Amino acid sequence: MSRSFLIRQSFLFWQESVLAAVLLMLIGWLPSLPGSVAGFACGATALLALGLWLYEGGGRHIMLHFLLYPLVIAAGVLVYYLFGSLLLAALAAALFFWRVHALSTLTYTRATLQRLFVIALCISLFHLAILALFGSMMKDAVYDAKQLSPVLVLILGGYLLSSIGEYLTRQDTKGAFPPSAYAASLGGQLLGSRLLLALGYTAVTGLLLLVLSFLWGVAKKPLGDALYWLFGPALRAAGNLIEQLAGALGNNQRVNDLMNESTEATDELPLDEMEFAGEPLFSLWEPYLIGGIVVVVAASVGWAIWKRRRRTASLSAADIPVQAETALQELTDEGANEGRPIWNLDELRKKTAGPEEDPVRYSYYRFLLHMADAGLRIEPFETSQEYLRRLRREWPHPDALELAGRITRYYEQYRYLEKPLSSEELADLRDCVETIQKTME
Amino acid sequence: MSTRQTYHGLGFILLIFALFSGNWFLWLFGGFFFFMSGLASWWARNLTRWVQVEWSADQSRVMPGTPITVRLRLHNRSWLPLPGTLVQFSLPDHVVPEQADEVVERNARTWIRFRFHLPMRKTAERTFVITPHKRGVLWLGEAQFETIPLFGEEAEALVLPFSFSVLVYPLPLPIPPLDTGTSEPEGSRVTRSHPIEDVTFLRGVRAYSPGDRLKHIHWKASAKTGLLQTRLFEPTANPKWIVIGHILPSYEPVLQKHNDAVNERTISGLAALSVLCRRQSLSYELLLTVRQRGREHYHQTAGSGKAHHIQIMTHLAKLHQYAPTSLAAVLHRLEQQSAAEARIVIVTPRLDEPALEMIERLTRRGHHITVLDVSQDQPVIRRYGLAAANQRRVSCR
Repeated sequence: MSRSFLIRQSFLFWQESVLAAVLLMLIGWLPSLPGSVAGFACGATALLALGLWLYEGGGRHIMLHFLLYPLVIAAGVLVYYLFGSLLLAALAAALFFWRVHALSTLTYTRATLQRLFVIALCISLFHLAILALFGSMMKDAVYDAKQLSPVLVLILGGYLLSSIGEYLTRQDTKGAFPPSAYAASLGGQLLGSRLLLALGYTAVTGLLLLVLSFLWGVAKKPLGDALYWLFGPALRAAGNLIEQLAGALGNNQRVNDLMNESTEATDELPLDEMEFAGEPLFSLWEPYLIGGIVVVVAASVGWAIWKRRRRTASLSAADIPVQAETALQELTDEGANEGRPIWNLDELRKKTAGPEEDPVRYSYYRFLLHMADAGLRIEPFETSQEYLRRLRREWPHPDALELAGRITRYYEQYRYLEKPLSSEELADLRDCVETIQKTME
Repeated sequence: MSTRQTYHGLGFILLIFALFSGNWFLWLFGGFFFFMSGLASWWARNLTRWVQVEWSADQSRVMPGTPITVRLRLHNRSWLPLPGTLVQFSLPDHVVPEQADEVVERNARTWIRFRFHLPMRKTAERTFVITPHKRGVLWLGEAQFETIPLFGEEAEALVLPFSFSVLVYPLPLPIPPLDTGTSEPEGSRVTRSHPIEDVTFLRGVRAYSPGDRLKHIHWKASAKTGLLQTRLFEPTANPKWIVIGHILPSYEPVLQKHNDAVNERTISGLAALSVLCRRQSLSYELLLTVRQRGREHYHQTAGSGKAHHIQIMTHLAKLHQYAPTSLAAVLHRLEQQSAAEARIVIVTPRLDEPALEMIERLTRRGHHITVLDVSQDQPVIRRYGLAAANQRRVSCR
């Protein structure tokens, strides 16, 4: 077993010892004093470390391993001597033996130490609340809640030191051990810097609290007066209302009997005597008002936190893409042709390619040839409609013009509207062309 | 739950205790938890301002297998000590480090780790050796840094920027002896012009005759005389080489074959030719069958000397992520452009039919073609010079 492993495990031993000390302090078996807690934690840590060293055989000597058992017995005897209970001594010895076995192979992280620290601190705070409210649980001792303050500091300081040690003995950061003088200097700097930061915080925050206390002392009187001015009439009205109610109820004999029976044993002052005692109602209500304000603030803070988390959760839920659900429907004939391609290649291939094989264009071509022979050649820049208009202007043959109009219409229908001519229309087109040719001859 | 949240929760509980009890200690103690988390986050945010990594190496351009001594310095300019500081960075897995605290192989990278125990306002220095074994550029832009947290929080990994790069040249492949052509005496051939002309040295001009290269037209002289003039150059005994590197695609899906190892051999063969030319002071130009700036192939113009050699070796060292093209296309371009009887060396792992056809055409035009076949571990030389061999010679070799 290496020395660094023993040192690393010792930090875990310290945290567990502190936790045990705090528990013992809570149930009243250990005085609520920093000295006793520190002594118990140091002793238990040393005992556990020694137990671990013996359990691992020290320098790999089997005889050293056997020394663990006398040590366990000695720990039990020590507990018996301290607490005077045989059962406790046996329990402590068994606990000690179990922890030595368990922690010898346990690899822990910073989170383990932090968890132990948080548990120890919460138990101490619970103990603090009990001490403040009900007093000590030890029979022959009287402890003040303020005596727990050094214990809290000890728990925090011990945790911070053990977390530093845990980091330095980690596998990732465990470097070559520096020379002793260098290590002492570095350790001094490390502890000194943390101590300096803590002291600086204490000084600055203490000063700030002092200033705040002074300001509160200055502002308390006018603030109290203002609050009294604000709420005084309402409180007085409520007091009067209660008095009237009490007076009205006092006249009722049955209520009087009931109240006398229930409050016979009590010796509370009546309301009118309280008023004479001079204690205002506001000071009576003060703790409840503070408590109410704290509850309201806590509830609003909790509400804000809840809202924020909910908003984050809803945002993260919105970021996840919603998986598209496939909905199956019956197939209908509507829109079956909508998905057809704009250019149907099969139909385009079926179309005739050249003007010789194209009867419509060939007919129009024949018509144009005939008109060119007649002296009315179509110009390259003219469209078929422009050419027709020119014919209507320059060609004085109304019958033939009507035929030319039909030829042009058939041609445009075929060529530009892409509507194929029916057989009758094609026959009509050919007839028109032949008629023009015959009539003009 | 993070440490920050835990500290805030504990601080909040303690402040509530303080509010009810009015105890000064509890106010201070509860506030200390907020102080710890706030100071720790501020420290982690600003730590890179005070901690710097400095890196210096004794060499910046090395051959594979050459050890590089690196000096790593870590400066702590803050007023807090940094014990247990971990600095790590990664290099390609062919780099072998020595004298590092820890070396971890992960994801085909070599992670080198150093641990420092650094006091406040001090500088720590470590010297170590890295030996690269493959060509390329070793580039480092940042180091990962992890140090002790202030008050027991999670250790946060930070990134420290620095800049370091080393160029590793390709390892020259041992090649069989090549006929460099320098042993051929001047005037051994029956030809009207000198077989080799050195374009560096202008001898004069003459009237242009059809068939002269347009590149060699002396435009100023042509403008003065009103007739096209062709430049004449000094003859030289050192022939100009054209070295062609045939780079295959990194992966060929049809053949289901990875060609990285073969390409590395081709590049090593090209490096060996470059070293040979450098030693014998031969002028050569390099063509690679990879796309370069919109062209179908990479072309390094002819040259000799150290600068040319370094330029080509640097390009070969950096040749990654290429888009290969056809060897036949490059040879076809040579057929159009190169001077007659050029000495062409093709470094290729594979000759396909179009390339063989182009080689045949080039040999018919009188070019001397040498193919360095690097398909096997031991490169083999094949010569294609039948047409040239059939020419009538004045002297015997």
